[in-house]
Amino acid sequence: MRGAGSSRPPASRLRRWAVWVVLLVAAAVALAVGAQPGTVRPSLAQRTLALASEVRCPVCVGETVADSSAPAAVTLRDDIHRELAAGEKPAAILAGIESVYGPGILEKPRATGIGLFLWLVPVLVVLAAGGGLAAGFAWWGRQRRSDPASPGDHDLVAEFLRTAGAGTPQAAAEEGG
Amino acid sequence: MTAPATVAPVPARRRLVLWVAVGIGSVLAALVTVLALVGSPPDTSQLLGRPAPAVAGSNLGGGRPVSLRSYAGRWVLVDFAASWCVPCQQELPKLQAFARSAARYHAALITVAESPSDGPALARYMSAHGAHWPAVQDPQAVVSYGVTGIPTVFLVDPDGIIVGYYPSGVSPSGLDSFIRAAGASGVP
Repeated sequence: MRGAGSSRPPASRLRRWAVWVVLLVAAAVALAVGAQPGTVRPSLAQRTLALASEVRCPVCVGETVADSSAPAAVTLRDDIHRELAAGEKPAAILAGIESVYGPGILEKPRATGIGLFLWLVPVLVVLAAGGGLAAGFAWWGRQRRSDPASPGDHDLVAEFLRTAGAGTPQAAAEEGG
Repeated sequence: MTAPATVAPVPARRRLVLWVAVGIGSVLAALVTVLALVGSPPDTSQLLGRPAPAVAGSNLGGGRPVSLRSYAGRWVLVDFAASWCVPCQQELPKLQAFARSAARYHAALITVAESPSDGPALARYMSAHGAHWPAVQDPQAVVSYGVTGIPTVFLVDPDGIIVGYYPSGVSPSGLDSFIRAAGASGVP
């Protein structure tokens, strides 16, 4: 017996794929549009806070420089504000802070060395989970399609039909006639 | 009634489960290894071997303004501390011992208050315990030196280069021998 999916006409399968492709394209476009910065340029204070939120407070636990009121965090925030006002690039400011405190000061690990591993692990886990599910479903589908009825199954059905058929009026008439 | 025939894909399923388990176990083991390697911050500073950032401010104990630059050509111990910090209080006698022996090779000490609001209290504490070297409040220095906890001590050589970083306490005899060895190798 063949699975229902494989007996679907090619046009139907094409339509199903087309729906998925349209959905994926729509999601990608929505993400791309959503990720675009707004047309209004953020103020210096907003840029300072945004950059400060990428730096861990060096003397506290679980707080960024944007959140903390520790003196060191306040000084770092003032430094960021001053350097942004002077036209320094955000990446250069972060690099300067990292050169003093080390890479652990950054909220987001850099995508190099061990940081790259930390970035890749979630992606690999999602890919492995998706691949595992796909493989599992494929294997399950193959099992269902490739399990023909055994001779034992045939015997079982034949015996059932014999016993079920023996009690019907038609069978009684055939026996009497 | 005949017993139902059994189709047995169990070995294949078990193999799949085994591989999945091995995969998950490998990922977890790799994560644990990485976290164990990077978990504890190293006892080192990014500033070792680099020019010492500026330290400057008015002397909290009174007197002339203090500047690290004015100590050029001398060994300087830059100590970050606070009056309320018990480890800093425990370290004070060691710094005093260093200050006594350091006079021989013309070394100096500067204490920097970890927080501006603590400056006056720190100066009072130092004065009450016979620590008579300059103390300043310089929030910028706390950040420039990448201080993440107190007490933290840096040793600056006569060329203004940071050559020592002591995040968990100094040893006066260790400092002495370090500086003597540097002197023997040509450092003034």
